[in-house]
Amino acid sequence: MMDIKHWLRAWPSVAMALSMAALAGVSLVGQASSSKPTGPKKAPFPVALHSGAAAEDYLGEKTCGGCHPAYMESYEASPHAQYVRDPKLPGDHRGCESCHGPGKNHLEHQEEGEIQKFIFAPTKSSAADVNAMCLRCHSRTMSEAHWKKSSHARGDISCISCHFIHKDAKQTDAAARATRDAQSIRKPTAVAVKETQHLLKDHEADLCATCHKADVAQFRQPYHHPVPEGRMTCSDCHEPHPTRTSLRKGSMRVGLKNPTQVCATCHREVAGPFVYQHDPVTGASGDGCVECHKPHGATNPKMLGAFSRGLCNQCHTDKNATHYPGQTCWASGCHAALHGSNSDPNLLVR
Amino acid sequence: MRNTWVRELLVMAAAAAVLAPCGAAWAQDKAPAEEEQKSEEAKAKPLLPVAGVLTLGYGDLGLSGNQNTLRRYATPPQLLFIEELSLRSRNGWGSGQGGITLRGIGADDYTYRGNVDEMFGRLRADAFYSRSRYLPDTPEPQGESERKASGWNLAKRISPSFVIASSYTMESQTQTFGVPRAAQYQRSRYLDVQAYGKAGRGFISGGYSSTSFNDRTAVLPSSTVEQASVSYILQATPSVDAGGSYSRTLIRQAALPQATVETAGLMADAALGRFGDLSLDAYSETIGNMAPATMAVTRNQGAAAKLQKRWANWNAELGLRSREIMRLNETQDYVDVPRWVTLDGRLRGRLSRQTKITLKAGSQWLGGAPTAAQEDTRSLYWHRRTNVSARMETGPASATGYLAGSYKVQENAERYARSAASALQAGGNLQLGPKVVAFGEYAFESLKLRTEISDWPTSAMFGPDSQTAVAGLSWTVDPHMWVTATYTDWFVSNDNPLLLPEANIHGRELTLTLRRRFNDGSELGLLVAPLTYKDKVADTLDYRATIVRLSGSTTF
Repeated sequence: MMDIKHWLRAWPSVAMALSMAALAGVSLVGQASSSKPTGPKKAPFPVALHSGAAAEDYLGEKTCGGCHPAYMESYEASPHAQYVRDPKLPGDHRGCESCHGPGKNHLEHQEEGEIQKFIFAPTKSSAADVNAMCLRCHSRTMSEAHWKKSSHARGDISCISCHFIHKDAKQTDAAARATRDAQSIRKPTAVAVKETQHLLKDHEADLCATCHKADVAQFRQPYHHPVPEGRMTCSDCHEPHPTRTSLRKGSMRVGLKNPTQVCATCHREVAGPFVYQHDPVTGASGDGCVECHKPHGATNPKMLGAFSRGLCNQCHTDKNATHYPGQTCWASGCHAALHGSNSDPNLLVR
Repeated sequence: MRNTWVRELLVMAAAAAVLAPCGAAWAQDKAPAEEEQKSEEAKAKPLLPVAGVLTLGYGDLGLSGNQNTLRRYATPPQLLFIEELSLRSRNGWGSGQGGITLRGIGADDYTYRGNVDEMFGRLRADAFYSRSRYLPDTPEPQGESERKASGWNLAKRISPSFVIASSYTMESQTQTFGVPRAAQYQRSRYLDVQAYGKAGRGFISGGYSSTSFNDRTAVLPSSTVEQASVSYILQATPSVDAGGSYSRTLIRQAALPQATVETAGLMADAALGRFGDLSLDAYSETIGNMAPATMAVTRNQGAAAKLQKRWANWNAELGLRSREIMRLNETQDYVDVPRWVTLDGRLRGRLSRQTKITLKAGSQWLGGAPTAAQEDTRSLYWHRRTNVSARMETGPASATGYLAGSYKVQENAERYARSAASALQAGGNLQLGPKVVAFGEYAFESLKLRTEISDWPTSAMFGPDSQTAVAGLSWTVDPHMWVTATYTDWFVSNDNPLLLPEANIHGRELTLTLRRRFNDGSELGLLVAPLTYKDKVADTLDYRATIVRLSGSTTF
């Protein structure tokens, strides 16, 4: 176990603990001083629709289907339908109304300008409102506090930017699919592609490319991880929002999964630990594996940032032209254990 | 000769097999009224309990040249194969739903997956199995490499707000390499069990995971990594949350003592009203190494603060991070403590309703640069890293354009080393008419290296430049037929003083697809993809291929 000296040396943690205590104190004092005449804090719009509703305000999905047959059809085909038909769920978590809010007030206010006030339409709502509504049910796998820590949350991205609740016509439109195919990095010559899961609106790489164009375009380089071939997807390495993986790892911040750990998921043979480590492999010198490799795509074999000895020479500047027999440092058969060795400090043999 | 004849016969048979049902459907297209009537009748019929898709395919590589280069990452299917067979419960079976999807049956690369959601999603399970075959990109013929992965995921909701989940993956690899490297046969297993959900005003999670690695050629030692972890986030008030996490990892490796890694983390977020949102993080990692090494990291800790402010259409972030490690030398007579401080910022927003912009910049400084444990003791670490990037997107939906650029510099002052990577990307979509959309993109990357090496060949000669140009077109011929064309041209150039392969290469890829959909949902597809790869130094790596695939799918 860690001894007290380690904790004392851990100045950032101590500083953080003190900062957090101060923050919590300020916030509790603030909350206490605000428990006055202003009344209770108002819930976000979609959640407020439920909080003010009585059991008889929920009309059931058949009533919704009477006026919205097209949506009803896509809802029937959606996995969401199965979940919200659980008879053990309370009324405000069942059927269409679990996401859109109770239908009674909506039915009673059909006038122009009023109709949107009493029903929740995710596609016409703010990211914060959409996310609040989704987290009513999805809070068992992710709390709002977790979600707020993701860069997507900081960028005001909503759940329905990437996921569909039930497919609409636009998402199944073949012409739109053809347009996406023309731009995609995916190679249609490969068929053993990973299935699109989690109600994503599109193949992951195409979906991520909607915003992260420059990053995704790197997969067009001649050496890349097999994302265009469909053997991998973006979320194999990246976490778009908190997941079980981020809950498991030490840091609760999400984004890229731990750089060294994530590479080791598939490349265990180079993960070590080794008795004689190559610093970049351990992450000690900074960026871990990406110190040498370009994981999306590269112009060099092995997805390296520079070609041949140009890579090693960036740090090992003392190994000049006389040190080499003329080949790449590892391909020449010399530094065969460049990721690390248990027997050789010069990483010549494993 | 005989093979060609047989192959052509197979092509014709396959074409007939997929064309027959589609052709029948085409005939039906010509009588829309009759079709509508049939469709109404079909709707009235009781539905099958499962909905499915069956896609048959026939593929040919039309390859001349080095197949190693073409099959570097995957093997396109050849001859007859089942491109997709998926079966899915149509309306659930009372309290559950599920299905299976099999892709690439009969091909070298395939992936199978099945899932079941039972008890209205309170129990979820899925299993998968996949195989991919590929070749090392060497001039000489090599044996095939193969990667197989299988596993399952299971999650059970034990209360409305608490879940227990488990997953298992087994992956086996057979990797072949070019001479002089020997082949590797490896297998790794991963298992985890985790519980998570609401606890009071917060969210708790805890679990155990185990990863084992085995090299059947006994070149690398077998290892096992076990980790137990727990974390909790407390939503103290609507505007403040705080949490902590702890994990303990045991690493066992053959012929070495056990190593431990303990990690503790703390975090907090607070909404500070008009000052914005503040995030604080800290972690400390203590590493008990299995054996003293050249320079072993025994402690790794860091802290970060980030302030975010939103106003109108703008969103600004400013972050400060500090990280330090403690390294112990092999004879345990000294330690060094390098420390990195990073300052970064991001600004994103809208210049107008149709124009979005993102600007990012960051700089990192290294303090206490460690000496190198080798003959030349000058530090091997970068002393400073700086990066800037900008991205802009503009235009209405019918004509959008984007421009992105980035520049990253790394410097080692002691060794007079500098690396500067720059990238530029520009592209856009244009609606050429109601039925035609065009797409174009150009990307340029460059790496400039400078070190104290002045003898030939200098480091600067190993910095590659690359250009990639893409043009795409999608044409909706009619409501049932689509044509897609994508052309990619890329090249990589190096000074390449040692005349090594894979340094000066040029590739051209054209992909043409035609899809025809019929009223009953069946579809016919044709893919033609002429590809060329040229290595200007080692032409034994070159290939020219014309991949052709004919596919027909039907839904039921």
